[in-house]
Amino acid sequence: MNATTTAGLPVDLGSGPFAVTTGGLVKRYGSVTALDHLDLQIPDGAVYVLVGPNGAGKSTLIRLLMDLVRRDAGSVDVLGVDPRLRGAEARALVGYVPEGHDLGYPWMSVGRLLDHYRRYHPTWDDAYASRLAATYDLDPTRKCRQLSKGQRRRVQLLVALAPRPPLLLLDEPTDGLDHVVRDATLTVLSEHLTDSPTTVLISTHRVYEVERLVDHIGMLSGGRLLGQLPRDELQGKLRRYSADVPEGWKATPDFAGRVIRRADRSREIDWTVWGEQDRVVDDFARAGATVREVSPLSMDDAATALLSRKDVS
Amino acid sequence: MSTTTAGRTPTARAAAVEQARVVGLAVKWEVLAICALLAFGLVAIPILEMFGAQVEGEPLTALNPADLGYVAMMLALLTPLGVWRGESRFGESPLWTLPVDHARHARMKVAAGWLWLMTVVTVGLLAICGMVLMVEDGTLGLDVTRTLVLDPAGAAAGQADAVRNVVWSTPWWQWLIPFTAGTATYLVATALWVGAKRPLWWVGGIWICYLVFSVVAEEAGVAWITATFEAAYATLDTLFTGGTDSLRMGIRPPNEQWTRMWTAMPGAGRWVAMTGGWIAVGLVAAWGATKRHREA
Repeated sequence: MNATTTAGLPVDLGSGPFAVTTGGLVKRYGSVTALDHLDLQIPDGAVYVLVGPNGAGKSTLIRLLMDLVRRDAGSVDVLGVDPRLRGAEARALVGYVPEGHDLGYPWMSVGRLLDHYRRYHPTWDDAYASRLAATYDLDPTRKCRQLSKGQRRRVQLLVALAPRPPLLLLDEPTDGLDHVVRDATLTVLSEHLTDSPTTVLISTHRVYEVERLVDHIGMLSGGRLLGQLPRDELQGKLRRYSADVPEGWKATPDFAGRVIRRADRSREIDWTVWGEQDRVVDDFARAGATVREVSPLSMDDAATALLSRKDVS
Repeated sequence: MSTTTAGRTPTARAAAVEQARVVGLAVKWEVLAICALLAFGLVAIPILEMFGAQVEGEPLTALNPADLGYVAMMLALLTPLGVWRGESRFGESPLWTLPVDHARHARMKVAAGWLWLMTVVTVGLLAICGMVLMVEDGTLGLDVTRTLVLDPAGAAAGQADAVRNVVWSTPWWQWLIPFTAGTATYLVATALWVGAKRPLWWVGGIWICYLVFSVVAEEAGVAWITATFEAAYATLDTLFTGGTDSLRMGIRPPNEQWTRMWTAMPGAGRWVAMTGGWIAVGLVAAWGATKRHREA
């Protein structure tokens, strides 16, 4: 449970059970390493958000879990199945919303497209699919080519949810949705999680959109996992400290590697620090600073702070 | 959903039937266009002459099925484009996200395309037969006398015993040529389309190689290259026509014009061997191409 990355963040979520794990996962595109020895752990039943900047490797990871691309090294386990060896079974366990909005068959009507997916998924829930179509205001007679980006995303979400799979892989699921539909989508997802025991992996760089659903977070940058931890631990240990300091104050070595973000003024500092709050406050006191205020960060702020950390290596 | 149903993949039959439906939708407009053309032909009977036999001296109102091999070939060449419409063959395509083994799924799609192609060929052949029968004196198949060259030098010298007249009737196997030519072409075209990221580059490359070797063979007089190309052409001609062109040679008897005479009559054995060979090549190539999309 104490394993950490070089950034000082935890990466080991314990002994599981896990719905998805990867071990030393490597994926290269030519000379570019998209994923660099990734050890991902998604607890069974968790809603795990994977955050990272564009090009961090989030979509590549999801494609590897679906066996849409081939890994160069490492292992992958999706609900007990290695997608590379049993790709069809792995995909049958997954509801997938891809990064792109392409539905593939522009000449098909929405109704025919849904029927197409229904035939491939023995667990397809017709009543649920109809309810989702009504919620998303999808006209089954419209051709796919006539749909807007947001409408295509709604179709993709419906296709992912209707079989009630035990695992959802959602790659930027709210991309292309307006505020109203995005809220409706998150409500649908929330209800879905209540009705169906599902593990969810959401890849996004807009954590604030899905924050209310999420209970675990992983941070990916440059193909490497900076950390993965429960939401409570993140919000409990990563806090913003405002403190008064004497003129010319310098931090003690106690803070080495734990300061995520800093804003210094002449007699006032505003730092985001990783660690148990009591210990951090004591460290400030020992260093001669007086902590005035400690405030928690939203997940979005926390993720942004961690991903923009300069000394992350 | 119970734990026993979670992760269930569709049956092979369900996936194959659905692919047949999807491919049918993908090529729907082309199929309808062909059907409309055939319907037009049935109504406008004079168009029949377009389908008349092309061999000199043979009746225009008789349908020679060997002439339809190239039509089937053209159709089959374009079919993979329709079959794979909407799919990103080497990218993230909806096809690959479905719970079916990738290579197996690709083969199902290829098979679905072949089924539709054969359906169109069948309907087309029946419609053309209908057109022929609607014409006065229209007959299905040839019933003609052909001149067979026994001794080319003698025939060119005008010796009567160097040639022999043979009564020729279209054999049953020539009615299969549109299907077999279409099948072999479809498989080879599919192999290129499914197995190569840039199939047109391959086609262009092969064509350029052919041109270069042809020029080299002609300029440098390299007989084996010429012989290889002629042999290859003979196999293709047999595949597409049963050997209508490669089994004939130009002869110019004294004081007469050039005329093309038969060196041998098209035979089932030769046709089976060469067509079987091309279909086998196509099957292996298409199988290999779908294996490029394998899971592990």
